[in-house]
Amino acid sequence: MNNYPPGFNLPRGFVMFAHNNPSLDYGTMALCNALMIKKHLKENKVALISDLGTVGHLESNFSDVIMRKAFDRIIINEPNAEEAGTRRFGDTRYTSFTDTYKNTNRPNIYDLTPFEETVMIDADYLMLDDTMDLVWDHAHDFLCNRKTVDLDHNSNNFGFDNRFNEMSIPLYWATAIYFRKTDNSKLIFELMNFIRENYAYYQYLYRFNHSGYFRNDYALSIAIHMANNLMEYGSINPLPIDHILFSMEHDEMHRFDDGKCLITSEPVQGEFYMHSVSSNLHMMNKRSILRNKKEIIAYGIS
Amino acid sequence: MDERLEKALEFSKYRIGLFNRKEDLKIKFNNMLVHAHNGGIFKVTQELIVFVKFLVDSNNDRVVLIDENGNPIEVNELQDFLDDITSKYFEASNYYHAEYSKLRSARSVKSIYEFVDE
Repeated sequence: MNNYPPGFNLPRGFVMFAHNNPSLDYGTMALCNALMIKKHLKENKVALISDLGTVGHLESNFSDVIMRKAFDRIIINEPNAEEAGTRRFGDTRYTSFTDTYKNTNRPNIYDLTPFEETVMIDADYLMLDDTMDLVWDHAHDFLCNRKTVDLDHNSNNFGFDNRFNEMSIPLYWATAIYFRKTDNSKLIFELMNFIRENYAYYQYLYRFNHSGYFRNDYALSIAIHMANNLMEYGSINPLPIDHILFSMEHDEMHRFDDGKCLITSEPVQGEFYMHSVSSNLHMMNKRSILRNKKEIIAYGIS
Repeated sequence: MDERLEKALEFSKYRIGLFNRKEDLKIKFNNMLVHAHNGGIFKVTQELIVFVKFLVDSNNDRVVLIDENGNPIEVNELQDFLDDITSKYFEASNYYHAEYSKLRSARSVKSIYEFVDE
């Protein structure tokens, strides 16, 4: 691995986790997104938390110039192989595949982040606009969103009005989390780790279906509920844009041009709707991002 | 297929495309209206602009405004705040207008999306 600048206690920045599996190149996805952050945002320091295999793969595919432009810090944190789950991934309505999913080290973000103020985002949450610049120095020390909106403008996409089930607690999304290093933030991440270690127990307690892998969204929601004295309403404010705009796994990004994505959604098989998107977008069809990587990278470094 | 039906279906595709693009634009417009100040988050509305203008005209320089999340946020140098939110409003509404005008002249599904020149 190449040498990247060392050092912690940087003021503000973004952190992404990326651990490749044989089917998905999360490292390249994170690199694409890091370049979007550099392109669109004023506060644009990016740290990648990854494993040696993923970073080695990135270094063999991209020049040192591109790597250094994308990432200000690369932190190696090998996920526990025994905890890796198995997940089904969709690639449009017509293809799906199953592979390992290594995401159990995210609750360690509090100790791993090099920043005093951190925005942790999924590698596939594409930063296509500058609205995340509004988050820094927020009055609250921990922010995440409960609302989601899909490209077809539905806001109750997973049923139950964004709850685990019709009688359960609110579901918060770990797609994007802002936090400062405070006791409150530390408590939430420590609770997430505790929930991860006792996942089966919390699955029965909160009555959610086990997806076959650890869900950070669920652990986050339960941790917030516990930190909030088991009350529903409380202290978690949303991010400046109070919803996550997302594109479903059965959608396809056809083109990426000048910072805009041309996407076809297919909410019902055979019904296609087109969208031109230039707002931050959680693109759940990950392979679709990778099919456009050349255009995204070319735009990012231009 | 009957020619009339074919034309009707083509027009229906155009209408759905137009609707989706308008809704995408609304999301973008609303996102552009979000303003951060002193740890608070404000949605720039005509009401907020008029209220702040009233406060400035009443010779207030620092006030407490309640933000989108119900947090009380102290705003010092109110005139600067007014300038910022007014500027943000114009930037967003001009963008919305420019994109909307393009849509009004679009006559096909392809041209609704800016990737293809008509």
